[in-house]
Amino acid sequence: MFGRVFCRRQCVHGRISVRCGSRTAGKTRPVSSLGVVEPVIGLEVHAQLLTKTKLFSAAAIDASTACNSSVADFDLGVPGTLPRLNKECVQKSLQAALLLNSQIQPICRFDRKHYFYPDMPMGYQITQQDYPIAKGGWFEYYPVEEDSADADFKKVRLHQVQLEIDSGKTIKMDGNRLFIDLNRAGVGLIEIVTHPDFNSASEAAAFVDQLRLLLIHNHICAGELHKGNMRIDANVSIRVNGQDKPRTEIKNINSIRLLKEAINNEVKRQISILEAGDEITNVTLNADDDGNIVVLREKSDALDYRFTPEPNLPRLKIESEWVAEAKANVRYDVEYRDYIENYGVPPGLALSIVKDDEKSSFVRQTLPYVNAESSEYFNWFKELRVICGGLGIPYPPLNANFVEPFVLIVNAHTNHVITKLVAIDLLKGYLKGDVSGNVDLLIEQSNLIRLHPSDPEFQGFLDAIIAKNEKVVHKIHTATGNATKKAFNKLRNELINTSEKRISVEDAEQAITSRLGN
Amino acid sequence: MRFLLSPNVFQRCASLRGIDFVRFKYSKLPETMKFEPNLGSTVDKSEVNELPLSKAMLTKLEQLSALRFQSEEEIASVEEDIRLAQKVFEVKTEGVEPLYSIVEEVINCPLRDDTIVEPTSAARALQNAPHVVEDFIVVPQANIPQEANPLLEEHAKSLKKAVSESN
Repeated sequence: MFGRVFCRRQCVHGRISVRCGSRTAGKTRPVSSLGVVEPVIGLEVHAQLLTKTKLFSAAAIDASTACNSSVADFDLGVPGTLPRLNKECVQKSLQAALLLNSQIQPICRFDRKHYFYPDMPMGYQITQQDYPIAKGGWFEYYPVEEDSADADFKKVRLHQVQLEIDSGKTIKMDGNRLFIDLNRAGVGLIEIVTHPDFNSASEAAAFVDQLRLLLIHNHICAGELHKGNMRIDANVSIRVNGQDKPRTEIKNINSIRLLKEAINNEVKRQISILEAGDEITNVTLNADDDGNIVVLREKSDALDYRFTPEPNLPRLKIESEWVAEAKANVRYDVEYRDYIENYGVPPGLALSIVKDDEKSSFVRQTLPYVNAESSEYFNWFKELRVICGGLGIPYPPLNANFVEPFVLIVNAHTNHVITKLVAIDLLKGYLKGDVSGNVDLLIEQSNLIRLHPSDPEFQGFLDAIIAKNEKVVHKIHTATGNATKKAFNKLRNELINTSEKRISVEDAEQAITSRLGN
Repeated sequence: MRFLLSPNVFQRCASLRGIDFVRFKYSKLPETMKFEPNLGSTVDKSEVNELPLSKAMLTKLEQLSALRFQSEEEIASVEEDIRLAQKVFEVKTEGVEPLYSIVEEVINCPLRDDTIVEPTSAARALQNAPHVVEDFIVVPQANIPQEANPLLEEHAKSLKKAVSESN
């Protein structure tokens, strides 16, 4: 169903070329009998703010607390209680607005969004529908699959950033019973609404993933989707031959895997509806935990939320000191972007490192100190995995004492002081604990320094090898094809071994070739 | 609140009615920063002006409120309330800023310090819940009727009869 498409003029990635060359282009454009079909996706991301207390009440936010034990009277909707706005929530949403290049509004206002549901005791949600704290904005993200090498970023435009409260948690028990836990009711959320700028499920997933890394880095959100810290609603439609079709909404997506599955399934469903000759209707769908999409309501049941301004909260004027404080606390230097932009690491690899605590720690301690190209560094990083696997040691090595030797060994190799094989042996030695002490000193004292072709010792070894292996030399001259190769390699390996690996593979091959005149 | 400390009664009353002509210590919003009135959220005026209420509107009111009209008198009572409240729309409001909160001329929305945590307990939160299982609140079976209300059908018929009789 998904075929490789050659973008002709300006492809979805905004590049003008006959073949845009992005690996994601072919993967994401569905091929259908309807013609050119482009998925159009917009997201609403709800991120729980990382504060001590809730948005409008002083009940503690504690994920580990017992059921219904962190519920203030206001969260219960007890008559006579009033909302009191949390300063830290306002501060964090200002930081989020700055990070997302969103325009902070001079004044904003809270509204009531009315609907009945058991986990919302008040019968309405306090949100910012018409006058949010920030409008507009954009976010640059790398639309990558893991391990892909595509290094271009895409920009998604944002509609607004608004503050609102979360509802409680509803658990469906057998017999159609509902159990309610209100610990989550009243927790502050920022809702980040994007324009429908995504053209594939994987782009949407990459955006959410990188947004969450940014928010975690700035302590705005804890970012654990499976714990409910972030939830996503996706608006999905398709554009057939340039014409936009009606959109549907998928609510309450709570994992990135589910996001991709739900969007892909929905696109397929919409295409098959059109292929069958029917019309797409504006339905709202719910994603349950197993990835099944269930229709929540049809358009005819369109809810009237009766938005009214929240009368218990005066409008909020954003003071300039708050914005200054937010600017001082905001951190743009997210780790994965540092690797991609300053070290030239491919985005997929950068993201996979950042998400693994141990790898991330190891790379952070070694990459800046190694004087090789980052591609060379990552070759050693991969080599290290092979070595650790062979020795049965966890990878990356957790031993803090290994960091310095690793850096020094890699540098010695890059500076041509030792050969690769000696470097590998040294790494093994340090990992096993057989060897210790200063690396450079060790290299000198143990006579591990690499031999160059101009060294008399090098020539000495070469002479000795050739003299000892007349038959092999003869074979090299006379045999053909694979047999020649085998003989050549035998000679090369002997040269390397006699020199105790102080001659590199390339030097050995070149020396033999030139000496034997092949 | 500050207005209670104002020197004289007149100033206090003025602040309550949101009248601008007394200068207060707190900075006022410059004209450019007022909200534009947002009519998108309000009910479509033409719908409300339609009295007596149509069957569709009565059904919608039932859905939104999760209640049921039980008798003709209740419908008449709601219509009377609406007729009364509609008088508000006769007031001319061009050029007048909507007042969303009484204190907003005087103070910014008060902010609370995040570090002060209010003690809470499940015992307190659940004390009024009629049915609790392992500290979860059990939701009673939904009692929102799904079928159409026969009263509304009768009401519509009697309306039509009344209209045709008067013609």
